[in-house]
Amino acid sequence: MNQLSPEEEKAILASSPRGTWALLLVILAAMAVGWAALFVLFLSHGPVS
Amino acid sequence: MVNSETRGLVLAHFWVAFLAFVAAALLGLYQVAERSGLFPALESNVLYFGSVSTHGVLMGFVLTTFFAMGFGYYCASQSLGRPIWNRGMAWFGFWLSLVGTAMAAVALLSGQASVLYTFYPPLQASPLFYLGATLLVVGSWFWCLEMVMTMRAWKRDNPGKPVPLAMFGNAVNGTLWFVTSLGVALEVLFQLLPWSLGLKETVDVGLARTLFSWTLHAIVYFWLLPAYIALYTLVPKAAGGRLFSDEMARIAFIMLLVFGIPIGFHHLYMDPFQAAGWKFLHMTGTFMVAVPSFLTAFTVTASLELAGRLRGGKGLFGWIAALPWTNPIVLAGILSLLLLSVGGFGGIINASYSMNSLVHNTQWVTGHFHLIFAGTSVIMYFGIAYYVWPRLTGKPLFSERLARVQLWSWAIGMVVLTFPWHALGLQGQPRRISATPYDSPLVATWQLNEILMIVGGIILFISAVLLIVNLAASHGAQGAAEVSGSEFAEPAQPLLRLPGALNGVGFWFVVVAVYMIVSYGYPIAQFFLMETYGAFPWSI
Repeated sequence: MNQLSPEEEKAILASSPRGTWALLLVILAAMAVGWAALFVLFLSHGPVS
Repeated sequence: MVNSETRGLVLAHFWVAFLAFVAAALLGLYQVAERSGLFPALESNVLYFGSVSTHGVLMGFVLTTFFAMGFGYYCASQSLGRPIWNRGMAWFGFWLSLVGTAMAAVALLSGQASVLYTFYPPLQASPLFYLGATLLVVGSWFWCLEMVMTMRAWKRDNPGKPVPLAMFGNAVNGTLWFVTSLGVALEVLFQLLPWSLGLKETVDVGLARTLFSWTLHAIVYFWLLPAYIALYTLVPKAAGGRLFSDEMARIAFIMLLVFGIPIGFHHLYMDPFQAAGWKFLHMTGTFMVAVPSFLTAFTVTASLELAGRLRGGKGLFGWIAALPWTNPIVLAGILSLLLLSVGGFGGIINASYSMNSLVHNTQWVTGHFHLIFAGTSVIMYFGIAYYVWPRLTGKPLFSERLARVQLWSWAIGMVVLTFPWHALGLQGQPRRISATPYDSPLVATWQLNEILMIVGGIILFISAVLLIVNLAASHGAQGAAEVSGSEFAEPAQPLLRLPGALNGVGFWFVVVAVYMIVSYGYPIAQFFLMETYGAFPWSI
């Protein structure tokens, strides 16, 4: 475990979780692209005739 | 350490859950081998559908219900630091559920309930199965009452204080499960039981499917909530950090309670007896559930980020490497979140009204729900078990290394099993089939995925056995367990004041009741208003 001063610990607990924001944005973007890809690849063929 | 009154109760629930689980895993291995068509000697549609039904009931109803109940009692006792409301009633609920499970098992194992672990007529099971399932559910209602009453008693003795998050989450889950299970309870009591007993010649299939849909999807949140509670309360602490936001967790729990219950309607997208307008409205409701899922993903990941930074992690992603990956419950939490993100993507496709037609009743759906159920929920059940076992038995875990191997093998096995299923679904392979003996050139293209499916099944079964070995051996482990005092994560910022709505379930119970009347009122009432061509909507 890393030794942190109480001030450093307090600063970390009050900080914005920027790594989490970045990770979730990547996942959200991947989901949107995946959804669109399935839509275009499959549903764009139109109704079955 | 857990007090002796609760210890036996929790262990009894967990052992029933995990013994059901390992039996179901064995059946799962048989099923992937049979279904692949690569082992002609194994092929038997009678045995296959009996096995699938038993596998589903053991996993979806027995493992989950007993685990959720045991975990609820554990959290209530540990987070409040006092006994549960009525221990005698908790044991009564346990035995009632166990008797129900035994009755259902007799029907399943004798081939009288091969209904694919569903309550969809015209598939009909023996009355013994329906009675057994009813007792299992009714037994669990005592747990629901225990959770709410234990919380109420604590609030009465601690006016104005925030209910500990673990207790609050379990009270939400008890409320959710009670309301959720009412749909199938009504269906069984008034339709399936009279029909299977021969008191009525037929039933209204449309009404039965609508009632089952009431239960069918929110049951997933009943499975998931113990995992989410552990992700919010146990994992951040075990990782060496704090919970990013207590309020955010409570909002996610409440949103799951309110929006989660009616969304089973999306299982009726392809059914002709519900109008397209209702389906569209329910699609919007279904997408609302993505919000608490993302809230959970954000809050838990942010909590892990705090833990990683407190452990010395630097940079945008350096905290990930600094996390204690060797701690079983932290590892389980990380793997659970990863599998949730993949399974969640599949869920968004299923929930989309038009996209659903693409994958409806294909193997994609099987892949999706295995990722969410076994990938996200059950892997956390393992992590929870490894975490609480030393506290329950007073002995150290038999092997943390074995636990890590088990968790990794479960996650890898689940990917190897379910990714091919998603691919097969997109290639048009139906689910709910025991074999594919038609159109052989098409079936031949599926073979690689079929083989991967078997490999996945083998890995998963080995992993299941490792879990049981580790837990059983821990009872006889040498020495005393080293456990810390407080085990639930503190919020990063102190919880000074909490709105009443985030500290109880009474108000939300009323909101759920109103929302259910609005969203399910007419779709159910229509069956009593329209001509059903001889089928009795109700037996009375």
